[in-house]
Parts: sequence; structure tokens; C-alpha cells
Amino acid sequence: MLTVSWGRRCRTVARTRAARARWDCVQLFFVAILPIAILAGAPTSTFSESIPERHVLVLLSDQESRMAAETDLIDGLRETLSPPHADHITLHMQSLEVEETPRDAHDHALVLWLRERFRVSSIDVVVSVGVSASTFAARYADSIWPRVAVAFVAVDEAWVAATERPARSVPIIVHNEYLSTAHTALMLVPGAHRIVLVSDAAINRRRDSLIHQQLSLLPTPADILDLTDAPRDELALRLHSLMPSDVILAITPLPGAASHTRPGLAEVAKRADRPMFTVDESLVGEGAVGGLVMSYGNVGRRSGVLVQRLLDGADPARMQSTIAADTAWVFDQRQLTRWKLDDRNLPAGSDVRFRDSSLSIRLMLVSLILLTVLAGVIGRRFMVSRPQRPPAVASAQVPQVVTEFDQQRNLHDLAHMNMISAMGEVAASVAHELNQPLTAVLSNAQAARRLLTGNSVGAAELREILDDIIEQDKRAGDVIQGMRRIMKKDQFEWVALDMRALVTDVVHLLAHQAAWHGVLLLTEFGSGQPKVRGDRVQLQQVILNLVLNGIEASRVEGGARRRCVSIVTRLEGKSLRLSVRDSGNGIPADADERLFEPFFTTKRNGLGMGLSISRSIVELHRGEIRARNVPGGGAEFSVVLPLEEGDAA
Amino acid sequence: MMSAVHKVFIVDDDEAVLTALKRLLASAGLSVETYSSARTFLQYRPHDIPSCMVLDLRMPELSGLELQRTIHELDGALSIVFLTGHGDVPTSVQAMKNGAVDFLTKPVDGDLLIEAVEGALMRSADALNTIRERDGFLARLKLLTPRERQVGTLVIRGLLNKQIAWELGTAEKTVKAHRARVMQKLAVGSVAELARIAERTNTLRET
Repeated sequence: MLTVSWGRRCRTVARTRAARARWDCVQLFFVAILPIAILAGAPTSTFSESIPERHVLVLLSDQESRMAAETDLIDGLRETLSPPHADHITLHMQSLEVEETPRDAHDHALVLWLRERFRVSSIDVVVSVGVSASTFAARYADSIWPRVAVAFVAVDEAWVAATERPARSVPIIVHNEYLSTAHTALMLVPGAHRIVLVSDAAINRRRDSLIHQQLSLLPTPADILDLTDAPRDELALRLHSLMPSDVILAITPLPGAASHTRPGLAEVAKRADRPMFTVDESLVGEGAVGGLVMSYGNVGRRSGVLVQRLLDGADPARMQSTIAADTAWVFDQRQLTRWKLDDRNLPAGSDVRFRDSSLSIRLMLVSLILLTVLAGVIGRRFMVSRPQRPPAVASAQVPQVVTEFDQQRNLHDLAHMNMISAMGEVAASVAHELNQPLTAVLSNAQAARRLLTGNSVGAAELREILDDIIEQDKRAGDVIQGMRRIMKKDQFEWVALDMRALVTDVVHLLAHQAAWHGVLLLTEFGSGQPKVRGDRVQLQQVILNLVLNGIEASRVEGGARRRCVSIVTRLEGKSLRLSVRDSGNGIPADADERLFEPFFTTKRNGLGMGLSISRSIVELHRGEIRARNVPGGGAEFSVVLPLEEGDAA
Repeated sequence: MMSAVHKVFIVDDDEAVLTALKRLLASAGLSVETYSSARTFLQYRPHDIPSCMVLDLRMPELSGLELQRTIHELDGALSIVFLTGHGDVPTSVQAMKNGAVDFLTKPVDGDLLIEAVEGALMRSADALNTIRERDGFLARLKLLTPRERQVGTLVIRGLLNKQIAWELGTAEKTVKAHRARVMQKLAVGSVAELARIAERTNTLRET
């Protein structure tokens, strides 16, 4: 059970512009984040009382800058510390309104206040987000919460080098990839050999020198023009007189590191007549060409995992400082076109956004082949009338029932086929997830064997190796179990099914895929464990199709900044409603009518089979499937199925 | 088993894999350091000892290939063994072209990996020797006067003293003296040795 408490000290200052901006952020928090937190925390299991609740305190820097990054980070953190990933954790959010340079009087008052506020709940782990909150936590955490483990999240090497930390603490360092981004910029832009640094915030000197140090490692030395300190007027002037050999590199501060004092970087990109590269995902789509950008959502998730380990009693002093490596090459096609940059020179695996959608020839071929193969099966399905009742027994002798059963088996096969093809999309990440534990198991076992031959091995060391092998084997087993439950071609079976278990399996299977695209999967289950009658493979196929569609839709640009897919089940009289809502652009008006027709698709690489198969399945289960656009953006697909007799509310 | 001085760096973003690989290589008597991200490795400085890096190609930050390029600039003697989850052919070919010593797929057999790492360390030692030899030779090359350098270039081309004297418009006796000084300053015993080092270090070519 996850609950969220939100504390905030109010300062009795006049509402200056800055204060108003802060207030906006708080509102943003309440409007955008809190409901999701509540959504994520909704399920309460009946046996939860016996397990002690653990408390995690999250300290925020509360600077208005980098709010987007901080929000993403906290969402990621929250996601890993809530069901289904973790149970019985209470998150306390606390803004500090501190700055990177400590102010003693203010800080001491804050220390007293925090002691008072968290007198009752015993905090198990403290997490500080961003450099300012972390500076505060490094100084005072030990005196406020003695012997409690502290994780300093989203700090940088400069901070770690300059800060004395408590013994029971571990930093999670983020590292902006200026070197790789600059290198790629120079490769990508013909004739470029000077890098112009601009920033929308005052960059602390230590950090500035680290950036220069990174850039000094460039394989091909480049000139550097540092305009991060240039006054506003000079900056405007310089931006107008850049040379064709210049590329701009946007320097973005860490969360909680500084406040805006300059024109925004999106503005700079618009005004400058040279391409701008960035390490901040939020600038891609705002005028930057792209770069190796940081996903703060993943930093949050990584931090969440670390917090779980701390809660399990791991010793922070023995953990290595973790460097968050959550970056990806992301580019804006419109900017590539604007600056006539050849996308063949982009680093491998680049995510190019804002591309014109067009079907590649390969996909068209695949579609054609599948179309030929499937047309027969589907044709049969659509030509026969819809069965009134599912068969009670499979071995029925009545001819009409046999026909119905055949239809259902066809649909069952088709659903399985569609499932296998959908798996292609997640196969790569599943393979990676299996390979890692297998590698660890094999290497551990072979290491142990070698150590035994050498006669120099202690029992303790062997036990440690065996423990690791067992743990990694279980990790691989979990991956396979999840796959099997979804992939295996069961006999067609008409049984009572727990909707919650079906959804959970699908969500587990797609978690990695969603995370890879920076999409958050949220589930909310109504009370009890309502059952519906039907075929597991088919119903899971419907859920999988809807969630995969949701992930795909949420990835598109121009949608909500926070990418998420929420999957909600709810009782409605004698029915169960499952709704899947995404944060994409919604269903285009002209697509509305034809959405569930076979071979209709709005996706770049879709076959147009998912929804039509889903509708057939749902209708076979005597249910209904509907799609609508939700106010505020995104589409919602709902499936309403009759409840198993005796299960109705 | 490897001789005393060397270093193996393992870079992988999965802590379990990192620990296991470290155990495996350590059990073979190798001296190992681990890095949980390619980026930490950028702080790497050449060690001047035979060293090798075991690198996961599919780490989601700096791509392995890119790191390989950067590392090569930092330290020409560091050899790389690539590990990958999926043997994707174009990438492997590219890695080979860039000079990866080996390209192994996960999960990797322990003996194979140890063999690959030991091979890589040997190549690193060779590369280090070449670099040292080159640095020494380049340092000694600076001792030559312009005239001696000219003479050296022509000696390598296989010209006789008489021919060199003709080329340079000087006496054969002078050339002979120059030639002796070149051999002495560059610490080589024969023309053949001089030619070999010049070839390997790409120096004393005609301009």
C-alpha cells in the first residue's frame, strides 16, 4: 500500500514573481503528479496489516528550474516503490526551499522543523533529489535521522568531490553527456570545428571546468566559445554573428542546481542561425537538433531500486556510487532537415522523432504476406454469425455447437498467432533480460570450479558465489515464467479467470519495453478479485494489444510530456470494465469509424490486426469494446465483460 | 596465467554480471577492475602496462563502438574484448574493423573469455612495446642534424655511400662519417634494423 504525504513550509514573504512561479510548480504537482500517485497506490490487499509499513522520506530542492527533470525523476522513483514492484512503502515528499550554497540560519530552522515534523513516523531511508537538497542532507541528515541510510540522487561528480557525506550514504551520480554529444555534433555538421556553449542558468565554476574537461577529451580537438557567462545583450549579439563552422551546445544544469536568469534555451535555438545540440530530452522538439540525452524517469527508477535494497538492509557504505547511465540518442527530424544534416551519420540506434510517417517497403511486404495468410481465417470468422453462448462442454455432440467451437478455436489460434507477432516487439528486450542472469550464473559457476581446482577457496566465498547463482537463476526464471504464462499455446479453455492476474502478467511482460520508451505503466484494480469467464490466451491478447497500442501512442511527440498508460479495472453492476488510457494524441477524427476494421491502422508499422481481433474476442466473450478520446488528450479503450455468475457486485 | 603487471577492466551496467565476470577472471589470476558504466571509464588514463577491457556492446549510454573509438584515442595499447547479448553482424564487423581483439556472445564460456582476455593482454603488451620503441626512436630521431636526417633517409632507400654523396653533392668520406653518427645516435646496429624501425614508426620517409 502506498500512501503519499506532502509537506511544505510556507514562507511569509510577499508573492514575488519567483514565489508565484514556485506556486505554479506546487500546483503542477497536485494536478499532475498527486492523482497518479494515488492511482498507483489504490489497491489494498487484505493481509497488508501483518507486514510493517516502511517509510521513505524524499527531500526535494524545490527550485523552479529543471522542474520537468525533477518531476520525471520522482515519477520513476515512485513507480519502483509502489505495487507491483514493492509493497508497504510510504513515501513522504518534503520540499526544502534550499539552495546549493548553505544558509546557516535558514538551514538550522529547517533542521528543527524537520525533527518536529518527522517525530512520529520513523524514517527508514532518506532520499535527497538534486544538488541543493543533497547538500542539505549531507550536512544534517545524520543529526536529524541518526543511522538512517541516505541516497543522494541526481548529483554530479563535482558535488561528490566537494561534499563530505555521512558514512551510511550512497550517491547516484548523473553525468551529462557533453563529450559524446559534442563529438557527434562535429561529425554531423559538415565543416564544423567550433563549439559554442550557451546556458539558461548560471553555471557554477566547478561544473563549468568539468564540462571543459569533458570537451578536452574530444578525439578531434575543436575550438570552444563559452557564452554561458555572457550578459544577455552580448549573448543576443553573438548569436546573430555565428560562423558556418559553429555548432551550439546547450548546457543544462542539474535538477535543483540553479534558477533561470537568462533567455530560455528554446528561445536561443530559435534565434541562433546555427544548429543547437543538447543533453536534455525536453529540448528535443523545442528547437534543438538532439544529442545523447538523459532520461530522468529512468534515473528515478534506478534510484527506486537502490532504495529498495537499502530498505532490505543493504549497507550503503559498501555500495559503489552508482552512475546513472540512462541516456539515449534522440534527434528531431525537422531540425535535421532544417540544417540539411544527413541522418545516415547519426549514431546507431538513434531515436529520430517528428518523422513523417510512411510505410517502409519491407513492412508493406510483410503486411501483404500476412494479409494473404490471415484473410482466409478472418473471412471465415466474419462471415459466420456471432455465437450466442459459449459451449458448456467441449465434447458436445450437437452439430451447431461443434461449429461454434470451431470458430472459437480459430479465433484462439489467431489470437495466439497475433500474440507471437506482438512478441517480436518485445523479444529484444526479453533476450537481453535473460542473457544477463545467464551470463552471471555461468561465470559464477565457472569461477567456483576454477577456485576449487586451485584449493584456495574459503567456504564463505563459495557460499557467496552459490547465493549469487541462486539469485540470478531465479531472476531468469521469473522472466521465463512471465513469458510462458502469456506465450504458451494452451488448449482452448473456457474457464473463470481473475482479471487482475491477467493484467498483472501483461504489465510485467511489457514493463521493460515501456521503460525503454520512457512510458510509465500504471495499474489500478477495484476491490476484490472479480472473475470473468473466457479463454485466457484470448483475453490476455486483448489486454496486450491495448497496452502495446497505448505505449506506442504515448511515445509519439506532441502528446503529454508525461508519458503513461494507465490500466484500470472497475466493477459496474454485473459487468467488469477494463480501461486502458494513454497519453498520446488521441484518435484522429477520421479514424474513429474504422478503428476496429481489419487492416485499418494509424501506426507507422502496424498491420491493423490488433483491434479487429480484439473486438472479435471481446464479442465472443459477450462483451463490448469501445474507444474514445479523453478530455485533456489521449485515447481510452474500454472493454466491458459480463462477470462470472455469483461474482456480481 | 598472466605475468604480474597487467590490468583487466570490465564494463557492464549489470552489477550481477560485473561481479560474476570479475570472479571468473580473478580466479584465473587476472587483476581486475570493474566499471558500471562506460562513462566512468572515460576518466581512464593510460596505465603504461598491458591492459585490456571487457565491454558490453549493448549498454544504453555511449555505444560500445563509440567508446571504442574514444578509448583508442586515449590509449592505443588498450585492447578490447567485446561481449554482446545478440551477435548482430554489422556491429561485430564494425568492431572487428576498429580493432576489437575478440567478439564473444553472452552468456560466455569462462575458458573462452579467459583465453580471449589473455590474448588481448598479449597484444596490448606488444602494442605497448611498439609504442615504447616508437617513443624512444622518435626521441633519438630529434638528436639528428638535418643533414644526418637526409643521410638516414637515403640510407633506408638502399643507396650506397657513393650515390648518397652524389645526391647531396658532398664527399663520400663525409657521408660515411654522417652515416656512422646516424647509426650511433639512433642506437641501431645495422641498416636492416634501421629500416625496420623507420618502417614501423613511419619515420625517415622522404618529404
